[in-house]
Amino acid sequence: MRHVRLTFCLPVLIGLTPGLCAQPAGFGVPLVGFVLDPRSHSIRPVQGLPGAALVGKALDLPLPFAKARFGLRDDFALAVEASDAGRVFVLHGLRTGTPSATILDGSVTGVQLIALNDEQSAAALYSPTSSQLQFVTGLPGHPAVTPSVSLSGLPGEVLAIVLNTGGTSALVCMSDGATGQIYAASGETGGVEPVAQAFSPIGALFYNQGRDAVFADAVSDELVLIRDIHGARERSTLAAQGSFHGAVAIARGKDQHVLVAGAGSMNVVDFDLQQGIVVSTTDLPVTPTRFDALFDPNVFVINPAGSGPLYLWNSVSTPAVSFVPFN
Amino acid sequence: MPKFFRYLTGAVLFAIAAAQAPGQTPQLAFAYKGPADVTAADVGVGGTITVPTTAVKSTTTVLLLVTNKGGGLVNLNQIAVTGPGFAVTPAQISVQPNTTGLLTVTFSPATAGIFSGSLAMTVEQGQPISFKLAATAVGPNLITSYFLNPDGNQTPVADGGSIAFSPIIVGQSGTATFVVTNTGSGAGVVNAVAITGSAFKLSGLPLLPANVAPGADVRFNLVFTPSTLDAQRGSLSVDLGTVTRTFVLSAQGSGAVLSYTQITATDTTVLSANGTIVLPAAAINGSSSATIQVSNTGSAAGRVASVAVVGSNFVVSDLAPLPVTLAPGDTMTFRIVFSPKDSGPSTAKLLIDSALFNLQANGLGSKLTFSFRVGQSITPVADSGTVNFPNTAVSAKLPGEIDIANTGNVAGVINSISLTGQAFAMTAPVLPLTLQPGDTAVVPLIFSPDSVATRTGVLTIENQTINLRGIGTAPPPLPSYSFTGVGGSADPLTQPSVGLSLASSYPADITGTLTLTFTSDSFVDDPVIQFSPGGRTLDFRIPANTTTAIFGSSGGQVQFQSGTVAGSIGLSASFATGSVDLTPNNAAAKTVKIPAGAPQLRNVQIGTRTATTFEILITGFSTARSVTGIVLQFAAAPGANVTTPSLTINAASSFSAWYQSAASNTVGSQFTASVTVTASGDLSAVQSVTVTASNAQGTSNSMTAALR
Repeated sequence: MRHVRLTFCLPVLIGLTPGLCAQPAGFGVPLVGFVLDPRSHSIRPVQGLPGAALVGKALDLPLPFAKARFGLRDDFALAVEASDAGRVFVLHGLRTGTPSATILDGSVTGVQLIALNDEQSAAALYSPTSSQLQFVTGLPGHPAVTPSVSLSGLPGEVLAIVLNTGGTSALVCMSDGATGQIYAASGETGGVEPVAQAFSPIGALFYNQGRDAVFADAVSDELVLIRDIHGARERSTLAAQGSFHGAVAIARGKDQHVLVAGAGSMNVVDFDLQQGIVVSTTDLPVTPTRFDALFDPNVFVINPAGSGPLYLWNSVSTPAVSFVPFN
Repeated sequence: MPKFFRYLTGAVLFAIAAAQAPGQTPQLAFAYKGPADVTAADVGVGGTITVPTTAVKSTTTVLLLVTNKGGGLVNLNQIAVTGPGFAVTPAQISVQPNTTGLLTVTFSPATAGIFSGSLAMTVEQGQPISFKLAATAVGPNLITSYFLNPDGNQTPVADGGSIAFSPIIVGQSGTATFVVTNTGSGAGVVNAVAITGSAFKLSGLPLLPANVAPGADVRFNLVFTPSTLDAQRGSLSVDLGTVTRTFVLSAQGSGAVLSYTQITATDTTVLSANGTIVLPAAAINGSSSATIQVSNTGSAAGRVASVAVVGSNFVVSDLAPLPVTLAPGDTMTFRIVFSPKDSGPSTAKLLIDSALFNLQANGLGSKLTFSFRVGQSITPVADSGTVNFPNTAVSAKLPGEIDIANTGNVAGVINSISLTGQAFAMTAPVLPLTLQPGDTAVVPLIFSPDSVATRTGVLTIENQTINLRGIGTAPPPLPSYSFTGVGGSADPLTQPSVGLSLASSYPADITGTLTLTFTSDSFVDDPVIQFSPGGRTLDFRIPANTTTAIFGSSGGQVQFQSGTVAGSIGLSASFATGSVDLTPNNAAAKTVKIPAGAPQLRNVQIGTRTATTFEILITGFSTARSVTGIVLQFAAAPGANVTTPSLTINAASSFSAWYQSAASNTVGSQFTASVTVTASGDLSAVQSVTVTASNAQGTSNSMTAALR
């Protein structure tokens, strides 16, 4: 049998070995996450709890940034410089208010899409100018790029990229607006293979340890499940059709839920993959253009910073939308 | 000679004669008596009867008295006279003794001069008797003559003769002096003078009848004033008493005759005095012209001394320096240039010396005229004129319009319409706008004063301006209003909505500001208390005739954050229409109470771990800004034993220090507290930890974080 005695610091010692203590290590302002402000090319914290939050002052950064993807758990970010060079940097210590910026050597330039895996240990960078998909490993402390995978010759433009848990392969959603395709790209082999046809797949998720995938189609308004993406690729449309329109983003909810943000329907649909039903629909006060998780995986930002308040959708308890004014 | 002597002498002479004649000789005594004589003058036989001086063409009567002094009847027969002008009657008389018989001798000279004759008679009873007759006839000899002034020679002119004037310049006068000279011995007379011929008249005529004494003359003038170059004829009649003499008058006008013609490319038109010269139509700010030619068709040199135009839009051009002398047959030309500044007909006068002509031409162009319409009133507006809108309450909207009419004669195009003046607005028509002659376009205007003051603006249509003016008057007071959607209290960490509504609509647009204030129970502000667009003030507007405030893109309701600090949120509003503040003195306000309560936890998660420690991150808030205790409840993993199932932390001082820090003030009462737990033993025996926090108001909800 395992035994443990627990203590914590003065002034309370409860049944403890004398000399050991636990101490409140400190206090801080609750932080929902970070957002990139495209107006000033700065990174700004979202401070406070949803419902009582503010977008705080910009972090003291040495450079302006045009794109950023935040590794929320480990307080880092991958960011693309706002310049013609478009260099990629790894930012550390965001919570300190004055983070450091380290260039990611060997990265492709002109990056427009950045994806992080669930572990936030790997990333994928996509540059439409060179049609190159590049994997990054060793995040956040020892980032290293891998040889890029060429997507040139594939029809359409890349709408979204999602990494598997290990960060070794990615689902690439491409479309010309009328027809599209989801591809599986391997960072290890460099290979690209088609997974599923679609009209306009705006995002995808790996499920079942990477064996399956779910994507949302902005044209057909479908939520599609592909089983065995590397094999049989069995396709089925999930019973979410009609619950959203003009999807712009898809995200993983808690407990095998899929969240879809619909711009045309101005809502967020919570679909239970296991039950195969829509469990909730939340109407939005603004048109969603994104659906990015913040520190709390149940809190998502749904609109870009700069035009009015920021809006958050959260399902901490019941799904709700709250605004965050800019300070 | 005394009468007695004269009588006596005659009687003596007769008696002698009687005595010498054989037989019986009548004894006759003769005497004659002129008309002016009182007594008769004896005349013997063979004597001379002198007739008084007699005017020509008159008759003097002399009575010859034959007295029969004898005793018997004497018959005088074959009484007759000889000599021009003489006559006697009767041709026979009988004279009784001692009576006197009369013979009438008349002398009617036809001409002047000395005349003689005889008077003879036979005496039936005696010798023939004769007398000499002597008479002097006197009479005028009126010689008519004339001389041309100023220095003509005197020229006789007989009855029926001609008096010829020298050529006289048309319009001028020439005179001839007519002279009736009496070279005779008797007075003449000029009874009457008459003249015919429209170009002739008399001048200097004396009172008539006028006597012309011998050797004297009577003069008067004949005046000739030609009005044309045509030969003129007339006549002069002079009544000289005994005769009327008529003379032919002839004369000729002379001089320059200027004629005028209008020359165009296609034809030539003779211009008559007071005629009209029509120039070609010209566009506004363009020009047209006509060539005028002056020709001297007269017989003498003429002169053009002045050429002038009276009136606007016409000028003389290409005119030689004046005066210009035109010899007969010469011409000169100049141009009349028409440059209209306006459309429609233009007229003027052209004066060439005294010759007057009417100028006429048509300006071609569009002409924009304006009128201002407000309500039922329509008022013409001149370029640079001013239109006055009726007094209007601040922020009310009074419509009016400017009507644009093309009163010209060609289509006009409006390319630009602009408006200045904050209190005025317009709805411009689609430009460019073409207005045919007679067409009308409308520019709707709105006068909406923004202050209690005179407001002005300028409407510019092409290059014409209209000044706009109106007076803003005090608006009506604001109706009562209320805050809607939010109650008297709100839970922390919520985003309630608030609206603003008038009890009744207002006739003008209202602008205003909704203001959030916060009175903290803990004397520390909560910066997250803001409106959703950010900040604690938010502009709104209430459109005219509505009651609901509109908060920009937020619509009729706007959300605000209630924060996480106990206290009172105040909502107040200010109102204005234009620049006039409508906010009442006792403006209504709303208070939303955020109550103090027990802490609330929102998140508990495990942070940094080591083999013997683990960090618990506790996120929550406490509206009282107070957390006094934290309780940690540890759940054992299956099959494990946690000898310390719970730990109670006295957190008062730690949280007090936190809430006194500047960092804590940024998000109200929210916190993320980090508690590090040290374990002695196998830390994997701990499955999870459940956290609660408490203060004087109570204990929070519990939240659990799993370690495994």
